Amino acid sequence: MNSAFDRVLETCITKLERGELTSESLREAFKEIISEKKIKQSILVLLAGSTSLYSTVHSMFMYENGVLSDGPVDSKEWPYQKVSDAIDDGWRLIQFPTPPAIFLDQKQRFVPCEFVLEKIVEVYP
Amino acid sequence: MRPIKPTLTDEDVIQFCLNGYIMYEGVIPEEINRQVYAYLEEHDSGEPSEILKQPFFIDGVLLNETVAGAVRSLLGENFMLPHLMSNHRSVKPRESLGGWHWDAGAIISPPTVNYLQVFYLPQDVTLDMGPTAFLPGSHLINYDTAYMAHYGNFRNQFLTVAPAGSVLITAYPIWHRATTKTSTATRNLLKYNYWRTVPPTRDWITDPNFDPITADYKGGDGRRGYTVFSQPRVSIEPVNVAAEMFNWLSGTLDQYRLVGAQGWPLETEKGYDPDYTRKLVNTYNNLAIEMKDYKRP
Repeated sequence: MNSAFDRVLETCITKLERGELTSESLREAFKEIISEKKIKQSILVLLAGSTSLYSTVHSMFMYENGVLSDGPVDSKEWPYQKVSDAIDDGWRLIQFPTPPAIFLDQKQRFVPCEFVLEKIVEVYP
Repeated sequence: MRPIKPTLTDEDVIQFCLNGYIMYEGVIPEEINRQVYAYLEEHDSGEPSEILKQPFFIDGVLLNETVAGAVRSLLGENFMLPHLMSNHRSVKPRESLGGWHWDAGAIISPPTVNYLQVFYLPQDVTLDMGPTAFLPGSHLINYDTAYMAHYGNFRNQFLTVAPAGSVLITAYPIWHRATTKTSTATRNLLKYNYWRTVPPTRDWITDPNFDPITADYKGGDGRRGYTVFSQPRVSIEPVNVAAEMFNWLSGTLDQYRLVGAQGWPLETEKGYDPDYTRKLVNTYNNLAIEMKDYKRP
């Protein structure tokens, strides 16, 4: 058994097979699972050439399941080629690109349009 | 130091201004590479600057005809050789994520070329040996290093996967970073600077038919330049700054005036009549001077 969910499930099955599963023990089991539930956030940052959701992704990095990734070296292998691809795959946009103050400086030649997206994953330790 | 002849043309210099690097693959002879590798095995520090006194290194690497010719083109006569040598020697496998940066001391604006940062690979470097990644066009970008450290792989990045003897000449502020090394092979990467000693002037290989007004600063001629976010299209900003950099290198920065729109430097190479285009740009420049309210870019 590798999680609280698995452990509680096995306990319930055992009780069911023995005829010991009651409504009260089911309530307790679900309380136990919920109490141990943890929320983990995955982050995906996509740099695009413009603020359009259809703009091509030019750089990426991802933090998922506690692992940081720069994405594959070959951009053809990136999971998302456009920002909208990531949204359509369930990533929630939590920060839309905004021009920083330095944008007002005419000497500023580049402002990355940085889309920050997240996925929330429920984890049972 | 013996006289060095420039080897770059006007078009080459524009390419350098646009991309921020020139790569010469396998330009250093194998025998020299072997000597350098053996030296670095004996002197395995991160700063083996004593190699800069070794005649085989001075003659074989620093003053290699092709490399020194490019340096001469960009830094002018009597450039000075490096006083410090860095070796990004990597022995063990290592993970390297993010980490984009420019090196300390970078000056972005105006885009000057008072020194060149050069990377020399004395051995073959494969993808698993953690080649350095560079971002073409990024030398033109005024951005804080602290805010680029989280970026991962870029679509347009350039990895120094190259044969032994390759030399990469870069504009100092170009963004670069280490990449993950999975190989157990030791990898050496030498990094050093050449220095300008004379004011910039257009004394590389010049073409009498080249006209700075109607030149293609987008990197035309089938060698369309990369820039950060714009392959294959080149956005207006890098074109402007590449033109500014070219003017700086030509010693004519005081004449640099951005016209904008379909004027200089974006589309002037497309005009149906170069004489008319030249007249249009010059008229605009004269007007800007006369009106005195021209905002210098």
